[in-house]
Amino acid sequence: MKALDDNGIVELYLQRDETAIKHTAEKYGSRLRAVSYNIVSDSLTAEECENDTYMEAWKRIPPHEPRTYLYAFLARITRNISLNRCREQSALKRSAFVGELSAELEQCIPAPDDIECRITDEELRLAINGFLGKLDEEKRNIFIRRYWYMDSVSDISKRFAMSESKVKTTLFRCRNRLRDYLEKEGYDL
Amino acid sequence: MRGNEFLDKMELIDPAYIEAAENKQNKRKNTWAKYGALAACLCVVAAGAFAIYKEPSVQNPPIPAPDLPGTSVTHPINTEMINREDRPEILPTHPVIGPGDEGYISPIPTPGPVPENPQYSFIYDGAFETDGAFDTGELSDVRNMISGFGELTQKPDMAVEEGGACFSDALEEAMEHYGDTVRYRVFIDLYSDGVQISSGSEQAIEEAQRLCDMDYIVALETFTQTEDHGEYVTTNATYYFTLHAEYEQLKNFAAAENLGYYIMLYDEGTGISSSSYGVVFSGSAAVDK
Repeated sequence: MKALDDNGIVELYLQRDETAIKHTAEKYGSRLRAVSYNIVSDSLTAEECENDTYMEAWKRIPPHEPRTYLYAFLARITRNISLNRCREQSALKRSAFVGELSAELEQCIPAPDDIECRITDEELRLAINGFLGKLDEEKRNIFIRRYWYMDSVSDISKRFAMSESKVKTTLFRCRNRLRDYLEKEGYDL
Repeated sequence: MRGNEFLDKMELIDPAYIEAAENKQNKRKNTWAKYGALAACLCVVAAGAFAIYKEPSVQNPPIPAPDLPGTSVTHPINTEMINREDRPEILPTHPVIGPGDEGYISPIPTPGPVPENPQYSFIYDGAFETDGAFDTGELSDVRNMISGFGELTQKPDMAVEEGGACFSDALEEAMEHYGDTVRYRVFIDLYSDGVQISSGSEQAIEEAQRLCDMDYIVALETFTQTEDHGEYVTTNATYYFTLHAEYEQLKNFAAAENLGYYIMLYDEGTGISSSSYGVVFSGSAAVDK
């Protein structure tokens, strides 16, 4: 099978050509599985999440046309599916880890409460990306590895060749900064 | 909103950031490769030194001693005493001076004065002593050493693991801002086995000595406070483990394997903010006011 670029793959989805899924799996399958495995920590479940991702992509394209960000588009779906799977199946023993990350992120919310997010996704997107844009590259990558890819502190320390203490310190400061940023910019989450 | 919802909302992060975070890796350098390269370099240096050492014996015959009346030298092979008849031309025409002669400079450096107490012989560069030169001016002012930057930052409530060094936010920002154009007056909290150790402890003093040996300027400051309670007097000593460090010395901090370091700017450590941008010490390059 001839390898296609992202634009070509998206074009197949738009034409409702089922080979789009084969091309997607060939190009991004292993990376998506890795994203999922990082969250669910179970090979079989990660494989299921990968397959669910293709089905979800099939439903979402069109109307979406992620010609320039196909991987990020797919990975976002994988993350979402895996996270939900983790919460549903406490047998995966990952709910504690997800709980830990949730608790860490709750520290960034200026006034946490049980009411659902008061601002639109678009506003929140601006807030989060505005904050990330202010961080230097290394801190931003550490923050994303932790709260998007859901890496353990140990994995982050290996990836960035730094001590675990430094990773923890950096994350601690990033969370404080995010809370200050949200407060200062007047975002009421 | 709660943390679990916020965790879900992290999906709103820009795709470009997601991809960048996946691709970015700062792998440690291969230690074996590093030491292999070092060993190879040493071999080349050793071989070169050997060649230089051997070469004169092949190309240049040994220079005979000056032929002064009655002078004799020992023959290197048969140990027989020989007398020279002619003064060799290769000898310099100017007078040769030796130890004890006026103008003789010994190739061996003269040792410096022995410190009064070698255990505490930390170098304290006089050029950087405080003399009250505070600066609250603009960032463009000339500075040669800084001890604060911006607002005091909060120290995380956690120990630093052995062999690791964590920098305070303010110190990182200051280093980013000034780079190697200034020295940094820093304050260090030392950790061992997950517990902070006193800067006046034996282990801290040994560490100060170790860093001194590695050309760090260490200033182990001691402040003694005496309180008169009427019937009795108490004396409390406070120790500050501080460095006057170059940018590179901090960037590639030589952490000991048995200690963890939390390094902050001096003002953060002492909890005294002298100015918005920190105290500037007058030294050789005085503050341009």
